[in-house]
Amino acid sequence: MGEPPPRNRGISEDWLAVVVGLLLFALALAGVIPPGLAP
Amino acid sequence: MATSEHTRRPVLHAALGVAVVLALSWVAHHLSTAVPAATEGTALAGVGAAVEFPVYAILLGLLGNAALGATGVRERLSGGFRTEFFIKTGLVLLGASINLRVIASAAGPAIAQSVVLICVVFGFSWWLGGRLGLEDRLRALLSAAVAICGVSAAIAAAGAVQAKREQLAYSAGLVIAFALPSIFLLPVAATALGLDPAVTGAWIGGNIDTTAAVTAAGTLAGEESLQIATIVKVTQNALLGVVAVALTAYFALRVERRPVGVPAARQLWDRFPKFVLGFLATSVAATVHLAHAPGGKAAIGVVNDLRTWFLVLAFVSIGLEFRASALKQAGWRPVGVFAASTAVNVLVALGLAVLLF
Repeated sequence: MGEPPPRNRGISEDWLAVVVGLLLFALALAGVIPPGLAP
Repeated sequence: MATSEHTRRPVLHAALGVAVVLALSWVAHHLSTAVPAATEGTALAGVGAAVEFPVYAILLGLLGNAALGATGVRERLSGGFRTEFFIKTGLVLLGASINLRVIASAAGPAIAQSVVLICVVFGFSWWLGGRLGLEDRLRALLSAAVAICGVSAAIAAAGAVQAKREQLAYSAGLVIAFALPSIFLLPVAATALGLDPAVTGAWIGGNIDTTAAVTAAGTLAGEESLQIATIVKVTQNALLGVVAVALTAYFALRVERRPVGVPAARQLWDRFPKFVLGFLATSVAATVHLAHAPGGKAAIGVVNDLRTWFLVLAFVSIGLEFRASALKQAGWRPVGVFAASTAVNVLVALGLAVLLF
């Protein structure tokens, strides 16, 4: 009916988000990422 | 050669799409700091300070959507509009803001309030959505958004029930539309009702959906209110994982059950939003880090900054991916469900705040 189909890439994107999130978290805790990034 | 060319171009287009998201996010970030500074001391100062980055990000995304649509390149670049990835990464990072020790030691009433409030408001919204004939996935998103923590909860629910992106954009739009006036109205109403600061904080934290708006309203109401509001909100955020698991189970086993032969555990695991595991991992790690590292708060502040960036990217992508057709189909009913559920949330949260704080 012209609607886009439901998302099908959920699982891989889920895991990628976990890996990237944990990596950034670890880098921030290690002091590698400087403060003052956000709005 | 032809095959190589064929597979390379989608990657190039996706990279261009990501570049568009990054550029618009940078502008949204810039506006969220420049507008409050520019309106300071004018009649628009309150509005300038209250309009937060999600509003700029979604509006810029919608503008980009219109511009790319008019030039006919939106579909080609859409591979770079990774709303789910951006927001799920943001939610993994959100876990770092949840100090489980604080919740366990100081948030007894907050836990009671959150559990009762989520059950009552989610239940009401789900029931009303059913009565008005809303599609199951949309009512799951709206119910999670209004009952727990706004856009984050809608995203978690979207992962659990495999919702369409239009349903997510719709839910996010409603959350923001309702959160903006609440920032001003709740502190004023609390003063008019003569509530003490702790009750005001609990009311604000249990009521306003987005964490940033809770902070804004809590700040307007005073320091003690802000502290209580933050604890209540963080407790609700922590329950996000529980609701995501429950929704996954409900949709996998009841609403969209697959043909026989696929074990229930397998269906559950396939649908389970894996970022919830990352969310729990960062909560535990941040709690341990804060307990053992003297300067731990600064590092958690950096994680919160990163989270904000990923949410800006996500909101821009939501704007870029937005399609009006799904909203026209849904009509006014989702707005009615959200408004009625918000009213129930206001009243029940007030009753619980007075009772428990």
